Amino acid sequence: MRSTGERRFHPSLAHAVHFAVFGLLLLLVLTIWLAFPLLEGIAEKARETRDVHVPAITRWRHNTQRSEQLYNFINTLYRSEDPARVRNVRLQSQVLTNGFSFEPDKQLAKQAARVMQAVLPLTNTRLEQHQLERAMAMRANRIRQFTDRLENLFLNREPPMLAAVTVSHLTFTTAAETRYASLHATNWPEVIDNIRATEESIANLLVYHNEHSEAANDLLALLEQQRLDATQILSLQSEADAFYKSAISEQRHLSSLLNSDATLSAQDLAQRMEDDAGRIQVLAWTYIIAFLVIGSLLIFGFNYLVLRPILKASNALELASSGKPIPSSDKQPTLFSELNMISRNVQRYGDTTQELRRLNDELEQLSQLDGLTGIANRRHFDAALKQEFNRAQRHRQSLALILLDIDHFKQINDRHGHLQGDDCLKAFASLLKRFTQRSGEMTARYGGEEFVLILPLTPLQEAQALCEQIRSETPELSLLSGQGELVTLSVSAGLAYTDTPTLCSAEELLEAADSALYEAKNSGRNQVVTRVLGHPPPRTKQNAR
Amino acid sequence: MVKKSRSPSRILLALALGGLITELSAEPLIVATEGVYPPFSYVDDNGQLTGFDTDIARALCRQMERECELRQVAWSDLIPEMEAGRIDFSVASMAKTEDRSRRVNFTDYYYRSHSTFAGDPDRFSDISPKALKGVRLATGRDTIQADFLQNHYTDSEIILTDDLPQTLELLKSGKADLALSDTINLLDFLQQPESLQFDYIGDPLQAEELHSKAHIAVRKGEEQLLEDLNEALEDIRLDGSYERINRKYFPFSIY
Repeated sequence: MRSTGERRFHPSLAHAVHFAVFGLLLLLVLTIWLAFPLLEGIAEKARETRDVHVPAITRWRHNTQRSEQLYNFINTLYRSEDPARVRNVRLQSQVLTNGFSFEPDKQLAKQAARVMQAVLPLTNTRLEQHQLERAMAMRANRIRQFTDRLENLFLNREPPMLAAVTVSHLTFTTAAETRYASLHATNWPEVIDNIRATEESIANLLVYHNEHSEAANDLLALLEQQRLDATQILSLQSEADAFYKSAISEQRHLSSLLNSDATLSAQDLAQRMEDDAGRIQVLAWTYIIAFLVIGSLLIFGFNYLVLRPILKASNALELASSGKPIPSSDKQPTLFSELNMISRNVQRYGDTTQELRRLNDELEQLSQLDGLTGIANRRHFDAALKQEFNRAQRHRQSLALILLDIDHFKQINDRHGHLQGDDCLKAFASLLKRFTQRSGEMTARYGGEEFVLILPLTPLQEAQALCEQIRSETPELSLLSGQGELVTLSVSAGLAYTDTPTLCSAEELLEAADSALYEAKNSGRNQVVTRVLGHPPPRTKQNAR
Repeated sequence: MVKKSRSPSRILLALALGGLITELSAEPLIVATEGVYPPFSYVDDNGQLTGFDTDIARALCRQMERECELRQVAWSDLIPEMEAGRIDFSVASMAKTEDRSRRVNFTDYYYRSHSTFAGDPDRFSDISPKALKGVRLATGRDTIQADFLQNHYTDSEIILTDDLPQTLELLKSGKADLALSDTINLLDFLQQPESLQFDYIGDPLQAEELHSKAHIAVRKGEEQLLEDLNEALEDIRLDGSYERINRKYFPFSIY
């Protein structure tokens, strides 16, 4: 039954338990060991985000705001018509650009200074223009006053009326235009042309009217100054445009320097933190799953490799103590050496018990058999007779007892030797055995060359017939002696019979058989004598022929 | 499960304890500011202390969830008052110097600015000590600017005043030729209609000792308060409160 083959590897259970516990601990330590640098990395990245990237982003935002504010300031400087506002914005721009010198990137401060290099001349140009404007406005008031005087002086004169009207109109327009001039809204070339036209018309008028040349010349001087200032404003305007353009382009350059990858770095860090966290999650799940799998395997392994062999061994012990054989399936070796040892010891105990039992049986058998012939001995016969007699008595059944003695056995012994005698005894015993095959029937060696048969439930006639048959078959047991002589046997038998065992005893039955045999011997041997106990039937004597 | 059912009561207990602690520490913090340093701190038309510094102080108190009492204290008295324990902390545009650090603790900086000369641009453009020989220079007493002038402008006449308005008054009345102060303060002054004749003179000074960073000063021994203030400062800077206050007083970031 060892078809699976004996497993060679038998670790100790203690070692296996130690190994499993150690393995689980190792797994835990490994998980922590793997997770720890990841956690450390997340903490490190979080710190980096807080200490490096968030400040960088904040700084970048501030600088971007500053740069945009600077752009607004430049535009205000360029467009504002209010000199006070221009001054304030210039002052603010200065403080703002100074702020860039706090930045670690020195290039920012340099570029901011470059913006200021364009902003300051722009401011100065603008202020100069504003001053000229103011001067022109004041002059325009005076020119306006001349308009009224001109009307008084020339309008009522002859000729030409039209020229005077033209002069008056032109002068008025010029005064109005320059009084409310704006750097941006006013069309300065047109203003200059108008002033020039006014000057020319006045000059023309003077050709005809020389008498008011003094006043006209004053007006002409004012108009010329106005024209020159307007021309100056116009020429400054192109300078202002150039400074404005330069300031804006420097500001753009400043903005372009501010481009920062801090946000990208922060995002990258956040991404990496997420990845790390994901890895920790995977580790944790791996550990949990590994723990569950290993745990299940351990439980299964414990059941299969530890609990089952123990139960089997306990079963086997039970079987062994009740004397039953241990089933071979329980004899297979188990994995663990300790359990194997238990199993082997149980096995050995079972085997020993079995062996003892067998030897016991054998001994018992030996004590009941006759050593030479192998049939029951006298002791066994005594017990069996008692038993059969009691049974017959209990069930009121008949019982026959046949005592047989080989005739002239002493002479056979003397003549052919004891060995030959023994052979005769054996042959006779096996003959007798043939007649006592039914249950309860028995053949026993009574002693020497005497044999006895117990025949329960056998009617008298049948018992007599049986005796006759034995008597007649005995001579057929032809045996060749050592010298080649044919030895012929004959037998005498005493049959004791009772069908009312309650009326007699086993001893009486045996005595009756004995006395019957005695009678048969005395009457010439090779014959059967019957005695019936209880209600004695008529005494018969049968002689064999 | 037992734990869970117990936790609300624990929270209540913690709240009660916390409340008790808050109750105990509910004594308002005394916060000082100078009050004569526009636009950082000044008294407005209604007699209220106001300005960038005071707004920052209020925002910090709100962030720390502490009650604060704002007090106007003269510049030279700020540190002695803190040492005497009558002031918990001061938001007064104070630079962190070695001498001051021995007497009070400083938080992280809360704004940055330069020191610049102001005066008549028609009379001055070079601000080297050599060029300003014999020139009358005005600045506040016990300030880093005063130390700086005394160390470097030894040939100039240095006039020390109690506060910024005095300094500017000297400049306006012609009793001083140049005033040295914080660029942002001077910006406020120069934008006034009566200051048209004055302007910044030269570039902002770059000397190391003119630290250019303003800190909040905290009484020595109040380490927890210092920590709380630093934390609150970072919080208001990142949650936009600082930005709002900044925008209220200046058209650009001064952090």
